[in-house]
Amino acid sequence: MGSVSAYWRPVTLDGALALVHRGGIPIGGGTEVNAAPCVRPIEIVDLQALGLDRIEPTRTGYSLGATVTLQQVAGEVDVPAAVRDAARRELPSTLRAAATIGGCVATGHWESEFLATLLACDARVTLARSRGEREIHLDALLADRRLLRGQIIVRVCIAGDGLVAAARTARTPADNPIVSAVACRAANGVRLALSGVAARPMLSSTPIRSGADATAWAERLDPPADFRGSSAYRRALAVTLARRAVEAVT
Amino acid sequence: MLIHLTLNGVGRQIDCGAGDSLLAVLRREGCFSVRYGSGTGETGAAAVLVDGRLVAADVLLAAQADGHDVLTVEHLNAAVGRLHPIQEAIVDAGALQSGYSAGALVLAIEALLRRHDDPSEPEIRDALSGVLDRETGYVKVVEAVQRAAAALRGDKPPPMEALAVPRLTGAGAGPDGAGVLGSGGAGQCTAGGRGIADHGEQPTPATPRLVAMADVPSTAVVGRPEHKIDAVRLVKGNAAFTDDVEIRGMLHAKVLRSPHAHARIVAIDDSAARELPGVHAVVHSGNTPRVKYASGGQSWPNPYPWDQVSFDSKVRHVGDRVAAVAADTEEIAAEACRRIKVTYEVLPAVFDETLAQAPGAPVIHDEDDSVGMHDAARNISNHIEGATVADIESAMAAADHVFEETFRVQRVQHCAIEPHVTIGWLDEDERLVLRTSTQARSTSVAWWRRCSGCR
Repeated sequence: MGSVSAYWRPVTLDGALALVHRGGIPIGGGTEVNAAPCVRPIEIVDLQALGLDRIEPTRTGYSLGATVTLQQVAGEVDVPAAVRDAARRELPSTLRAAATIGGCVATGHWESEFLATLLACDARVTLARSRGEREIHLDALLADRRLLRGQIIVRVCIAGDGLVAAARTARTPADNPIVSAVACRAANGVRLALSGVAARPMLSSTPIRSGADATAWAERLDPPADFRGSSAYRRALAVTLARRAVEAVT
Repeated sequence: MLIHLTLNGVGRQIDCGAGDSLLAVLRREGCFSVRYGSGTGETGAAAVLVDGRLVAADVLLAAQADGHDVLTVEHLNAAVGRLHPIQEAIVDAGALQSGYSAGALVLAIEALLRRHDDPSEPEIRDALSGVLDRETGYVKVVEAVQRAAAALRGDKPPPMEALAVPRLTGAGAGPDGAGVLGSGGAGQCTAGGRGIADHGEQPTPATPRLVAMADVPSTAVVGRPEHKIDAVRLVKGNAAFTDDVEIRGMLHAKVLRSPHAHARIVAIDDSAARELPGVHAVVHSGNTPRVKYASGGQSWPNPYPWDQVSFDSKVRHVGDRVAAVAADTEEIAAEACRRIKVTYEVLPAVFDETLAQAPGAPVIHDEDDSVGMHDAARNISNHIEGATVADIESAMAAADHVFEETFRVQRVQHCAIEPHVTIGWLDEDERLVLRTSTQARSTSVAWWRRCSGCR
């Protein structure tokens, strides 16, 4: 656990923003921040009292509050099954009940199948700042973390329609995937997202209409290597899994 | 800061630091069942229930629990010698080995059964996924949950008895000759899937309890289940482990470790550490006897090579011991370690066993007082040859096929979740008592005597 010099639990969003502006670290469940070693003292801004813990239907899908836990998503029957399953697989039981949607987005783990699923479901993130709220696409936020500075994630909205399919390869059934592919066929086309192939989960930048399109996109990726897989291995997984996921929805 | 929470049904006001974990606070409040496995939430040994949710207390600030209900396994320990049905099921099924995370295991099961009184095996495995300890393997734990669920529903789990199955072949064989895994009938199992039958049938075990032959005589002990002798202390989360021991006025030790893979310690300046209030001792190569011993091998006498020293003037891997501090608190000891100034002469390091034997490789043990090393100049500590019992050359020449291969086996680390902890004190007869987390008691005693000079 890092060196915490102060703990705050604001009851208004404006109060939370003021604390974040002066350098406080916002947390939902704190499973990442509290686990990270930090030599310099930090101030914690706990968002649990802001009422951001609801899952609500919207005109086009669902709104997941920033402090909604992964366990809440996994247990919410109205949320698309693929999103529920990805939330359940993202973390083990002891962490899932504390880890939050906002925390997952803020952390942006490169091997997160849950984030890949959100990308495929056209996730848009609402950020609160002193000048009000703004909505940006999750893909844009993952690509540029500086967009989070001085702001607080309030909610993530996902599309509720569409056929979703996922494919993954992991060392064991319970392990995080080395690479995962999630495809969603909606009215406006197919969205394909991959995890474990870049510094962040990736949304396809080219139109995907078939398994061949998915393969062509994945073949151009240059994944990083680590002990779980070389770059070539990860690319090979991406090519196969992307094709499978897209063919399952087309 | 002052926090207010309900702990095991009792309202409490607790004074804690802003950065104190809920794990640290609960242990200070006497909840020893909540155990340290890591500081990152990975092991689940510190899992507790907060408002009914299973969460890892090692990655939760105590301040986050302000205003909430916190439950540890102690809330189930209603009476001396009596167990909750969940605890009984764990003991009956033999789902305990170390028991280090038993408190977390019980709470995970409780949280699951509150949500679902008849969970499937996949649901059980998912609910327990955060508790890394696998206590005897996965099967008995799953069976324990099924038995607990049945008991809480008012159903009667089957007795834990051996199941005799028909012979596979010959006289007495089953009708299809395959009697190991059958279908239907009490005591048979279905491969995978639900272990507890529904629709009012007798609950079936998750896996078959087999007796290899049907004509094994009835016995009182052999082939009968037996409760683990220390099951009660483990399943209740009682203070049973080394780190659960608290002694008035005890000191706390921290070890300063090397940041370098290979380096000579040129100088150690411990003056700033010694001046820190609350520090009682600082030990390192400059003030401890140089006694050689072997860190491996549990036989007597201590097998060669004797290449280790408590605190050497050279470090040979990142994390190697440099110094240790004993202080009033862990925090003071850790701060004192940070204040020790060490001057290193960083040396070339080698990380591959083949390169380590090559000419010109850095010599890891270049001291002149190690004993029994096979070839220190080539970094070979041991050489083992099996005894020759036959004319190998002739046998190989006469063999139809000869296969030769070189196998590389990685070092195996058990990754026990309980950390290495030792507590020592002088008893009423002024004898030193050491309580330590080890399976090798005699070896630990031998090492201590050798290194300390104590008898």
